[in-house]
Amino acid sequence: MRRVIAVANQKGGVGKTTTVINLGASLAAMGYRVVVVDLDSQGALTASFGYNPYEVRPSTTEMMLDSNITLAGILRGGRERLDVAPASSELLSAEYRLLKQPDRTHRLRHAIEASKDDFDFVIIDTPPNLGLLTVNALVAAGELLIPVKTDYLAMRGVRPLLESVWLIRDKINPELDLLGVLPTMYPAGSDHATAVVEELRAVFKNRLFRTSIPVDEAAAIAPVARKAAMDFKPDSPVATAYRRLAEEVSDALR
Amino acid sequence: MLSDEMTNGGNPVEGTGSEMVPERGLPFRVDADRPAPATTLTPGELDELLAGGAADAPSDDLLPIERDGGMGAAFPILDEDLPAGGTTTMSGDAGAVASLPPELAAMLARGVAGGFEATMPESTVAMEPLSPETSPEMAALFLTDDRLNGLWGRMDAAQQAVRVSVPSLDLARKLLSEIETARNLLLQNRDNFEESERKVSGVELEVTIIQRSMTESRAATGLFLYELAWSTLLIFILGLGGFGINLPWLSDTLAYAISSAAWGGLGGIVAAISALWRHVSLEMDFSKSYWMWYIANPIMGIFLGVVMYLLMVAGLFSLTLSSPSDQITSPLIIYFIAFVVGFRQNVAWDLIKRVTNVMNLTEAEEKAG
Repeated sequence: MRRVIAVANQKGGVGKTTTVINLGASLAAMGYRVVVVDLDSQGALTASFGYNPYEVRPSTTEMMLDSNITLAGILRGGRERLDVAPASSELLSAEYRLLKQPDRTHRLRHAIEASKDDFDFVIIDTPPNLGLLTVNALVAAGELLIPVKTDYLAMRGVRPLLESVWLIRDKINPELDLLGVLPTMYPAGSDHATAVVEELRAVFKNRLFRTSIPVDEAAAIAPVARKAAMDFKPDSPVATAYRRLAEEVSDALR
Repeated sequence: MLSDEMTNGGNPVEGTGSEMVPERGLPFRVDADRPAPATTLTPGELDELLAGGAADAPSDDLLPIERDGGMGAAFPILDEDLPAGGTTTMSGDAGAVASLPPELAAMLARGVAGGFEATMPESTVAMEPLSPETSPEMAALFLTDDRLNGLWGRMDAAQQAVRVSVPSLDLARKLLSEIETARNLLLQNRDNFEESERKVSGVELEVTIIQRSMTESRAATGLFLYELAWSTLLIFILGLGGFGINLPWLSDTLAYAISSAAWGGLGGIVAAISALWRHVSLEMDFSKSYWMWYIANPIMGIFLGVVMYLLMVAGLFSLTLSSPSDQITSPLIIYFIAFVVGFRQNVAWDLIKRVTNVMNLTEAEEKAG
């Protein structure tokens, strides 16, 4: 089994990277072999596992520009049963150069398909825009996970992503399916956040995860310790939430 | 305190979920089993589709900014068949966008152009310098059909000009081949406009230079006659001795000096005539703007011939040789050197510089001693 999940939302600060790290770590803790792929030139995911985006080579930059480099060729250790495909700071200019390549939308897909290693999950962290790297992630992925911050404006920002998903499904990757919409940064006791989750439920029905990710300082501090929240503070609310999310994901894809 | 009516019964968010849904509806079935996989397009088929879509004019509804420039059409991935009415706000740091290089700003702004909400990266990251090659976005922004047609017309005109104006068969073949390559590039993809235009411009430049050279070659004839007049005069001077004409007031030293000057002048004339032949007949890039060089070259040769003679009889030239005993005394060698410095005047400047350096060194040694 190899499931490729793109975690995407063109809005920044909604918890994409946190979700990739902690969902990946939770799935790995469940015994799955996981690869997390950093496609964001900011390199937050890369830095969270202790690699310097300004120095790390080879990275997803080289993988996207050189069709001979596979995903397995750039992997670094993250934690037990979890590997990291790091991003370098040049990824932004790589996206520009990639525009001229004929197979520009399929580079990531080919890199994953060409990897001989067998992974259970490949989870892709996308940049906060709907550029070519995000398109590559949506073309490579079988499932899409959309983290949505539980406030009105963030919820409203889902529409452009869905419109681009329409286009990707129509033209490139009809197999792309919605794994689920994940409410994130849920502030306990907030009526507004609860109302937003209700609206998300009304629209996405069964594809809204039952789990919501709470606001929790542990999620912000764990990367400083170069760890996932579940390794840094296993009993924290955010670690617990991501463990539940991993179970939901595992069940949904079983 | 807001009334219930104003706050939608205490829950202002209620019912706003529909704002997330595109006009076509959700792209997924959210209340049923996952759909069966459908057939995917190959990358080649996709590129064909995208190439066709990129050339289409974007819908005004989708382009709240840069409508005239068609930036939406420039984005070669997602700019076709977008559902109308997408969010078009630009969040993030607009100032940061403005401060970026235009190509990069265009790249980051394409979400806006394509009807998406785009956000800036949250931190600045180090980047490699952008390639000087044309950005597809910017190329498409300025690549109107008029410009493409204009370039095609320039190719036709250049082809005709090559046929009419280029006398060299090899050069004409080379230029026509360049035009053919430029046409093929443009036919392959409109993104090749820049490369195609560069090739056409190169051909146009070559043809222009050839045409100018042919027009101005009349001036070359005048210059050739000028050089010929000088050479007649100098040969006459050199031939005086051979004609048995002995001037009583002419000392040997002065005779050598005059002969050196004449040989230097002849060197300059040969250089000028050689340059005329090369630029008029061989390279066909003669320009009369260089007239002063042709006028001055024989005169410069004469002066440098005299200077070389003076350097040698004064013994200064031996300073640049390996030992003082190597001092040049034979008139034939002096004349030969005078001719060489007239022909290649940079040799004279080099010799003068070496003598000057040696003299400076000697002075410094004396002061130190």
